[in-house]
Amino acid sequence: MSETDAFFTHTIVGAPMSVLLGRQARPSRGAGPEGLQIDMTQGRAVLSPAWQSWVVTTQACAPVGIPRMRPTRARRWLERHALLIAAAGLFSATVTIIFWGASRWL
Amino acid sequence: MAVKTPQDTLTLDPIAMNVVNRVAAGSALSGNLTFEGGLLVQGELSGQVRVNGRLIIWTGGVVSGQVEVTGDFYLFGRLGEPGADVQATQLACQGMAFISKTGISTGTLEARRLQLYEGADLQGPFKTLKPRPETQ
Repeated sequence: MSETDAFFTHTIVGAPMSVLLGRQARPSRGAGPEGLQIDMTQGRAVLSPAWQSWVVTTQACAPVGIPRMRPTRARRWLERHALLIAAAGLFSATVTIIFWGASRWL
Repeated sequence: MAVKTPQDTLTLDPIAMNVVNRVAAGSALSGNLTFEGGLLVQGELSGQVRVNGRLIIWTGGVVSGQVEVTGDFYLFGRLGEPGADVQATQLACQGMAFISKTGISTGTLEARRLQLYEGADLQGPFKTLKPRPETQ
């Protein structure tokens, strides 16, 4: 697609957007485990921690036109407040350094 | 206790998906129509329609008649007129059909694969579309 076509497509059809599809209707619902499978004997999830970050990163680069899992409520909250959390972290680190330095000096 | 599965979202990028045609809300197109590239329907579309690409029926959009789609099909609006016969609207999709929680289909839907979401209203029949035999 040429730059001119892309410009008119963007102008007329619209900008990229995300839309909620809903929960997948599956015939297997209730018949077996869904999502994480918990090992009851050892009490740990089958999905290892090494793969959990992979699950998160795959959401960031999902191709267009293919449904992907909606981020959880906790992740949406964290993304909305990322700047505030970072600022709070920097502030607390600064306060810690000041108090540590003051206690060493005094 | 029922386990709630996470919801799915879909990123629609008109340029990346080659959705270069649009029937805007409030517009109505009828007749023998062919669209080169994907089509976003927010208004009303009826007749003999062929879409060489993806078809997206947006919330509030209505498509009726004999429709052929070569790409994937996304239904957020309505396929078929309310109260009409199921044979009045027939959509054949060579790709995958996604019926979202707001989608309503009162026509006959044919697709290679179907993904239905909770809340979707599939009133008409669904038929699995077999791949066309290769001609030598």
